[in-house]
Order: sequence, then structure tokens, then C-alpha cells
Amino acid sequence: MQGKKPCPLHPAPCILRQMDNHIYLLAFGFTNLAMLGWLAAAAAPLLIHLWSRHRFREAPWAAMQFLLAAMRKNARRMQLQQWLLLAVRTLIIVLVVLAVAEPYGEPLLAGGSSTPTHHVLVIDGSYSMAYRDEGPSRFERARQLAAAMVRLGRPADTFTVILMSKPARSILDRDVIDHAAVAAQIEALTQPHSGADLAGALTLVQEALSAKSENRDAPERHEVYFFTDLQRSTWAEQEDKVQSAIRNPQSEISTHDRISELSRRAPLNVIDVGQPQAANSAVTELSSPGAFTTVNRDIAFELALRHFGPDPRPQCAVELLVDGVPVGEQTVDLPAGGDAAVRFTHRFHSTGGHIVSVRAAGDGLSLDDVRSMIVPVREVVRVLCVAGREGAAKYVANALNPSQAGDSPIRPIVVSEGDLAELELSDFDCIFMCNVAQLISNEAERLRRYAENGGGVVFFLGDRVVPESYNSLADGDRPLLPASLSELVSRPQFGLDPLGYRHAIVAPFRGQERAGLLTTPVARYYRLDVSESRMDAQLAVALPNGDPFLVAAPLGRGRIAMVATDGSLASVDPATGEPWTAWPTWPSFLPIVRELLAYAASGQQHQWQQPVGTPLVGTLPVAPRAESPSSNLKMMRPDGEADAISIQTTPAGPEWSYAATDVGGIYSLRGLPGGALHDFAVNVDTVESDLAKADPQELPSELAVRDTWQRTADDGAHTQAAKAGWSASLLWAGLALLFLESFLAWQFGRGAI
Amino acid sequence: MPSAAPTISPLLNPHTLANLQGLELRARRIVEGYVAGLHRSPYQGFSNEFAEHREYAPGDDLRYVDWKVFGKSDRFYLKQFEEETNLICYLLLDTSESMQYQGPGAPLSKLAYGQCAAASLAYLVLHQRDAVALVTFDQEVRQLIRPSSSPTQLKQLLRVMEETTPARKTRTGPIFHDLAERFARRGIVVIISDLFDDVDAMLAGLKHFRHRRHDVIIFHVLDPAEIDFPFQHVTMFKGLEGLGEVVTEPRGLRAAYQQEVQSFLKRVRTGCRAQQIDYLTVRTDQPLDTVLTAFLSARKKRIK
Repeated sequence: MQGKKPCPLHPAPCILRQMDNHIYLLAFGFTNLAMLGWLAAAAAPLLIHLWSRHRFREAPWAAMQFLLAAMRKNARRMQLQQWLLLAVRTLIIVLVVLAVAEPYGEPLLAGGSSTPTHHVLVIDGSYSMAYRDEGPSRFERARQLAAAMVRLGRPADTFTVILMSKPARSILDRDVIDHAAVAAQIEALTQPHSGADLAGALTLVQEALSAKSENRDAPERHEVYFFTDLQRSTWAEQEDKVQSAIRNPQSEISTHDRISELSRRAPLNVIDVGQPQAANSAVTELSSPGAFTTVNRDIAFELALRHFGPDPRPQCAVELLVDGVPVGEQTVDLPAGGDAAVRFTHRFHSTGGHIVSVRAAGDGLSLDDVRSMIVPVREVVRVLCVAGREGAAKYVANALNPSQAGDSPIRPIVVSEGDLAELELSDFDCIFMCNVAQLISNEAERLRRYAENGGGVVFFLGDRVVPESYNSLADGDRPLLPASLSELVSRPQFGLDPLGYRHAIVAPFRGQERAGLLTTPVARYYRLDVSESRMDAQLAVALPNGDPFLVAAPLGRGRIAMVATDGSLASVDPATGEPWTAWPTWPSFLPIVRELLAYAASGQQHQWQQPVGTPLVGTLPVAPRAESPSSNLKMMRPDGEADAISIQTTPAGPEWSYAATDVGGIYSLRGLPGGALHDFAVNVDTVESDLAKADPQELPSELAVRDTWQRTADDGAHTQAAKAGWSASLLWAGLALLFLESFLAWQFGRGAI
Repeated sequence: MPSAAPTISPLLNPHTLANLQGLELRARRIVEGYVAGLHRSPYQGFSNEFAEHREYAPGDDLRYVDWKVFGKSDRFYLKQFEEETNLICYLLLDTSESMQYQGPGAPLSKLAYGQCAAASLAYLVLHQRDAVALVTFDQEVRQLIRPSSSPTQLKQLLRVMEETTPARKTRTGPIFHDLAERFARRGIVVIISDLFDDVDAMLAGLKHFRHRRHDVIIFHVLDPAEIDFPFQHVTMFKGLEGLGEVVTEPRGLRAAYQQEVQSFLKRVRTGCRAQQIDYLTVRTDQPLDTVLTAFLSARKKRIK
């Protein structure tokens, strides 16, 4: 719009007209949509009339026979006059309100032909389509347009409906010939909270164009319509190859090539339902920097907000909620297109899983204004230290709880390797394996399952370690260890290489050069070999000669860390009689052990905060009897629905999974043994929060884009003039009716009702 | 005899009358106010038998000045004669509930106005030594006072009228028939009513009077509001005489209502004219001289 603040327009109802064998899709709406609220004032004449009928005076009357005769003869005339006056007065108000609301109307699309056509309707289902700026959301408008197109289609037309969510899915195929049913199905579509899978949608479009209809009279002509907000992240940032992963895994072609290919088979139309320059703020991250959350201690929560928009957003209110109850509020100034950080502290007084949410002040897109996480609050952090020999876990345990105090938030429990089989590993938040000689297959599988479910395991090596046993754990489909053990190296070295402090374990040492990390002595260690196939393994710390010292890798939802040397002074180099390392006595040992604990146990929290679309999985206790242990398991969704849970039996025991995490919010698992609840926080992917639109120049030329928001200066001036013309016409009509009303009132013998 | 008053005394104004208490007082004021405006006195007899002298008053007929007395006393006296008259005035006063109506701009109700008119006529007739009778009626005859020219007759008439309580419907037709049979001697039948009844039945009753050779004068008393229908706002009209109630917007109905009323008046007027009945529509905001003038005009016609 030229000469006017951008985006005064609002999504508007659309109509389709069928004229001259062409379909004209018309969009109409109002510049000042809020003014339409005054249409309620149109009821005023009727209300005043009814009110006056009930507020009458009373008078005795003698000449009643003449009055009754007059009324009998004139009742119909008087009623007609009253209704005529009421209609005129109501119409005056309606016309004036409509004029003030500045209506506009214009053709969105004029196309079609006289031949029956197969229409492929692709509706953008990314959550940016949930944006609303007074009036219906983009998704609702897209739904409205698509349904209108179906309803007014020719009888022989067919429709295929595709929802471009992530993943894209086909809603209806072309064999449904009942247009009313198709339109009803479109109108019943709900807004997903995921992103948009353009590549998948294009694959589905290609399949729809290729599919043979069961109906022999089905039209051979095709047209494709995309109802989308043309968000840049969906349409313009597809630098990667499009791969139809399921149907043709080998073919890799670009989005542009796919669109070009489709355009040869059918015209591609894009109906833009997005507003230009729409601003939005999002909570992009919520985390607790502390490793563990225990009761009666101040726990910090850090959140990041990002503002997507050309203007800064001052004084944005942010609220912290624990279990749905607001416990803190701050305001923050959001820079234009920038980030802002907010920090809250909260003290929990009870153990268990607590729902921690942050909520930013609302904007046009509310889905990304809330972010939640489940915080497991413990009485203490239980750490299992498995000693391969006496004293092997002594220094680690001391580092975890130096004062041996009973009220320490970390409670290490030292056991011998023989006790490992007897313990329930899920009772612990992290396990330190200290110079354990070897793991039998059963123990290894238990550790693997423990880690895959979010547990953390840290391995310290030593003179008791049997390399062959460890190396067998570094191979296979589900390797427990991130690296295999090569030869034993005896070479005194001082100092460790933190590799730029990039890894989370050593990141706290940045700027703390006197903390001892750079002078840590290591005399004997196993050289660790990280397989090239282990893309997820990360080298956190190296020795001065470049050998890996500390390797970390995720396993399932858990974390595995491996240290190349011993964590105690018990392992002695037989050649020199000296310990493998004096590190346990070094200042860097305690913080490294603490950071190892924080890193390894972080999977416990991570598994309870997942993005939309990620399946939720978990394990169940092995059923003592033959029947299903948790046949009553169900998942309570954020939208209030309850879904059944699928349970699979794996060699390690029963495992449940739930894949339909298509909306953001809190999911609660019900029916667990003992009546326990398990909550999961599912958050939207904030990639969709940036509402910036794709530049038309970036779009493939095969796409015929038609929108009501962006237009040239001439178009804008034309639209402004058209709007002014509509408003003026309405006002003139209202004025004419005003004179007519006065005349009628005078003619009917009354000035007012 | 003069037939019109050159000026109207304030005493004839209904607004003035409304401030006076007592029907006798009102009647005397009306008649005296009316007489004072006449050029000639109506107090003249119609026989040759001398009765008494009366001091001359401006407007008296000089033919009756007793010049002999003037010669002796140097003062003007009029000779009064015993009147020999066979005039009987039957006053028929409608006391139905509809007569109780008093509109927003009217100083008196129709009944009060009618009572004043009846009392004034009785006062006038009795002072001229004629006989007067009174009948009050609604759907039946309530009171009937036989004709008499006795001076006490006036008090009796006034008492009956003052004690009247309007309550019932009007049923003029059968009553007129009944009274026509009862009135043995010919006379002037003065009907004071709003005539809110079946017109055909009423005219049939009047015809009966005429058949008995009575002269009939109808004072059709109407409230100004009943003619003008001046109401502006939505009103619930509660019908008198049990005609129910109705809510309507009077402004839109005014023209139609007035058409109905005028149609009714036209029917009555035409019917009366056809039977040579003197008919006069009287609004309750009009001075009462019109009533007296009309009566005297009819009386004069009868004497001739």
C-alpha cells in the first residue's frame, strides 16, 4: 500500500463466481475490520421500537368504537409502514458502518476453462499459518478459499487435497466426487504445529498428477493451487536437495527442478494468504543451566527470545509458570530482528516432575510465545560409582561430594563391579565406571538401555581394563562406547588441550587458565580410536600430542563419556612405579568430574523437552506375567484428546512409543504401573517463527503468485481509489436513505418511533 | 326575541365554570351571564294578565315600560305579566360511563358540561314559568322527574344531577322509545349525550319522539380530544363502558380515527336533519351560550 502504513488489510472472506465458463475467485474485505463491530448498532432502531412499545402511556377512552374500527381497517398498512421505516433506518446504519470500514474487493484469480479439471489443492500447514492479525488466521483463510473453490467447482471437476505440514500428507484423493464432502473435509482441517515439508508436498502433487483415477470420465486437465503464506523458510531457503525419501530414495533433484517438472504437467498457482511485514516474537530456548534440580535450592532458568520484525518491541512481558502457576514476571526490550535473554530463579519444594513454562506477551502468532520443559526435581542426585578395584572410585566420589556431607545435593554411591548386576540402574542419574575390567553382555545391554533412555555413563580406564572386552562394546549396531581402545601409551605429558573449549564439558574452563586443566599431568593412558563412522562422537579434550583424552557421544537420549586414563591413583605404571596420572590430585579434576556429571546426566532432561513431530518413546518394566503389562496406557494430548499407546516388545523389554506429537504442549502418559504420571513437553520449532516472506524474485518463475498484500504502486493507488469509491457510494446511499426516511416518517404521520 | 349574543360573558366560559363549585351557582351564572349579553330581555311574558313591576334594565323592551309609574315616580319600571304557557321542556341527560371522559385539554368532563347545560336550561325555563322535566339515563332510565314549573323544581333537578354516578353503557334506542311513550304532553325534548351507541337504533328512537310531535334538540357533547385525537406518544387506550384496551401509536392512526368520527357525526347529523331535529355538536371547551341560543331559537320556533 502506498502512502499508508503497511498491512492495514485483513484476511477477508472470498467468493467464487462462475461466469462465462470461467471461475473468478474474488477476495473482499475491509480495511477497518474492527469497525464492523458497529454493525450491532443496526439493531438499535428495532430495539428502540420494541422499547417504545413497552413504554406507553395510559389513557381512559370513551370513543373506543371508532378507534377500534380505525385500527381494524389500518392495521396492515401501519405494520407495513413500521417495517418499512425500520428497514430504512437499519439500512442507514449498516451503510454508514460499511462505509467507515472501507470495503474493498478485487479478483484474486481468474482462470479455469470450460473443460472439467482436476484441481490439486495444497494447503500450507506450517504453524506460521496460525498467524492472525484481527480476523481469521492465515490457515483459516486458506481453508476458506479452498473450500469455496471446491463448492463452486463444476460437477465434473475433481479435487485432491494435500496438507503441506511436516511431513506432508494427502487428505483426499481425486476419487471423492462429492464436492460438499470435500469442502467439509477441508473446513474440518486443524492447524498443525509443525513446519512445512515443501519437498514432500511436491512429491505428493506429482503422485496426484500421475495417479490414474478409478473413474473413466475423470478429467485429464490438471491445475495446482498452493494456499500458503509464502514464508521464506519454506519457499526460499531450499538450498538442499529434495529427496523423495520413501518412494524413490535414489533420486535427488532440487526444488526448482521439481517445480519446473510439475509446471509442464499443470499450471501452478500460488494464492498468498500471508500479510507483508508481519512481526512476531518467539521464545526460542528454555533451559536450566544447572546440571541438576534438587529441592529447596534456587534453580536458574534461562530463556532466549527473538524478535522477527523491522521495529523493536519494547517492554515485552515474560512470565515464568511452574505447574501452570505464575511465579515470576519480567519485561524485556526486544531489538529489531535480535535476541534477548531473560533469567529467572525458582525454588522447588517438592520432588517429582514439574512443568516449567515461559510465556511471552501475546502477538499475532501465539504458538511460539510459550515454551515448556519438564524439570525432574530430586531430593538428591544419585550417582553410582562402580569401582573396578578397591579405591578406584574414591577420588571420583570425593570430587562429587567433597565434604561427605549428608545434605549435599549429589550423593555418590560406590559399589564394586560385582554389585552392578544387582542394582536397578534407573534409580541413578549417572554412572561412573572406574577402572572396571570388563562388562559381560548382560551388563553391557543394561547399560546400553539405561543410556538410551536418557541415562549418562562415564568410563574411566585403568590398569584393570581388558581392552578386548571394551572394544567389543564399541562395535555393532548400538555401540555403547564412542571409541575403541588401541595400545597403552606410557609417555609423561603435562597439560591437556581443551580444543578451543568448544565442548560443554570444558567450556567452563574458558578464561580460567589457572584452574589446572592446562597443566594436568598424564603419564599412561589408552590411545582411543574414534571410528570415522561415529559422526556423533566428539573429542572434548586431547593430549598435547594430539591423542584423544576425553571423547563424548550421545547414545539414544543419553550420553556416554570416555576418559583415556584412570580416575584414581590406583593404576600404577609397572615400569616406573608411578601412578598413571596425578590428575585426581590436580585442581582440574573436581570441576571436570562435575562437568562430566552435568553432561552425562543432561539427557534426563532433554528427553522431556522435544520438538513437535518427534516421537515420544520410553521403556516399561518387564511384565511378571504373560499379559501385556500396560494395556491401559494412553497419552493425554494438549488438545484434550486421549490416544492409545503402541507397545513393542524388544529383546531388552517392552517399549512404548507415541508418534503423533503434532501439536505443541504438555503430553501426559497415563496408565503407568503404580498410577504414576509422566509428562512430556513438546515445543514448536522456532524456524517457523520468522514470518519473513520469500522475495518474488527468489521464487521459480513457473509459479503464478497472486496475493492481496503486495502490489505495485499503481495497484495500490488503484485499490485505494476503489476503496474510496466504495465508501463514498455507500455514504451517498446512506444520505439518500436518510432523506427517504424523513419523507416516509412525515408521510406516515410520525417523526420517530 | 334576540337569537344571538353580541358578546360572550366570561361566565359562559367552561374554564371559568370549572372553578365554580355547585351546579346551582354554575347555572345561575351561565344564565345571568348570557342574559346580560342579550339585547333584549328574555324575561318577558306572553299573556295579558299583569303580575308585577320590575325596574328597567338596559336592553328591556320599551314597549313594556309602565309610563304611568314613570310619570309618578320619575323612574322606569316594566310591567310584568303572568305567563300562560303550555311549554314543557324534557331534559334528557346521558349519564353513561363514556360521559365521564375528560380529555387532556378539556376543563370539564362531558357529563359535567352536560350537567351545566341541563341546569342552565332548567334555570332558564323555570324562570320563564315553563315546566321542566329531567330524565337521566344510561342503558335504562335512572331517574325521571316529572315536569313542573314550581320554584322548587330546580333544586330537585340539581340534586338529582349532582347525585348521578355514571357507570353503565349507553342504550339510547329503547330508552327513547320508552320515554316517547311516557311523555304524555308535547314539549321540547332536549337530549344531552355523546350518542356513543348504535346510530340506527338511536335515530329510530328519535323518530318516535317526532312521531309524538315533540320538538327535539340534540346537544351532541364531545370532548375536544375525541374529535382532534391529539395524542403523540404510544398510548394504551382503556375503553370505557367495557370496550377493552388497546396499545397503539396515535399519530399514525389519527387520520383514520378522525375519518371514523366524522363519518359517525355525519350519519347522526343527516339522520336528525331528515327528521327535522335540531342537532348541535358541542365541544366541552366551547362556551355554553351556544347551548342556550340554540335552545331559545327552538323555543321561539315552537311559540310561534
